[in-house]
Amino acid sequence: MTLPTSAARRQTPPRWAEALLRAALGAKDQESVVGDLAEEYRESLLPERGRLRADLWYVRHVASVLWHLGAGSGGRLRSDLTHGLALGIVLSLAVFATNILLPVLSSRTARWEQAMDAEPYVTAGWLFVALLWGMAGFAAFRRTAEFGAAIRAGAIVALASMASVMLTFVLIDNVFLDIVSRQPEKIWGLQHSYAPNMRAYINHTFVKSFLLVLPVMTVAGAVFGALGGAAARIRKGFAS
Amino acid sequence: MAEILGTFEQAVLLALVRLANDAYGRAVLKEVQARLGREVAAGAVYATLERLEDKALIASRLGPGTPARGGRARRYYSIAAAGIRALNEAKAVAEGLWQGLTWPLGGYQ
Repeated sequence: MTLPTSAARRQTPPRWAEALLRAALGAKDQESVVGDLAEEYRESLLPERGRLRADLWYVRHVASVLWHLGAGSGGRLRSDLTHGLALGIVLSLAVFATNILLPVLSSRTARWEQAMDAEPYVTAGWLFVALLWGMAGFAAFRRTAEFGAAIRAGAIVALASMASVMLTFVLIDNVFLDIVSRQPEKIWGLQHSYAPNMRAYINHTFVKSFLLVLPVMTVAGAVFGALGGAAARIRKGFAS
Repeated sequence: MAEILGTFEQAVLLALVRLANDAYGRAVLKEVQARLGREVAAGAVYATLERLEDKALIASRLGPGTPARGGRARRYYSIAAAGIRALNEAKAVAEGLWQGLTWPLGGYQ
């Protein structure tokens, strides 16, 4: 294998953007769309606008294609993101209710909140969320008959839903600091950390969560998306 | 009466009529941009082409690639009979709406 010459490299759109485009498109669109943008880049943009502006054009149009056609033909990035954000909003409302509303309404509702922190409820909640990620994969496979689309749909829905839940936590923990500071696990966490105060402890925890938990959740979403895709395939097999 | 085409759908279908045998993605994008007089997102054109194909208003086939595209195939689009009917219908509806009025409208500024 020979490495491309520098002259040849200058004719090429940004590789990362092209790879992203190739990875996100379904088999039907992949070759023609990547080829169209590469052709426009080489034949018009590079000679007329120069490398920087050509690269900017390319990246902008890759983003527009991902937005409209991403995650495979029929399995749109926009649709998966919308489902993920919708799930995130529902989960965020639940987070707000259990962390802020129930503890402050009355002593009885505060006891409900403590009861809902019990292991079986938390496990059931996570199973429900995982089921929804799997359903995203199921729906994507039914639309496209592609496992890749099912995996991407699960991952995108998981990423969008978990990112919005984490942002909700950041928001309510900072706005309602006095309420969340009473939570035993937060007090314990602060005592066992080097953070100077509760706000610093909470925000440090969130930064760690974004960097560590979010990628893990995205992978988990991909796994459940694949399981959903497998279920759709089995169901299709039974139906035919 | 079938569903009325949107303006962008009409622009894409008319681009296919004008380009005839040369209607592949990049050419359609440039033609639509030229006719609308503004930059158009490539994703919007591809999504519209896909939607029109799903509605059986157009058809597509793969053609040979060129060195500028790294040898990747072009997808050529052609308008179907249903697409022609839909365009004629859209034009008739627009003309009906304008009937009895003089273009450009004046006196409302």
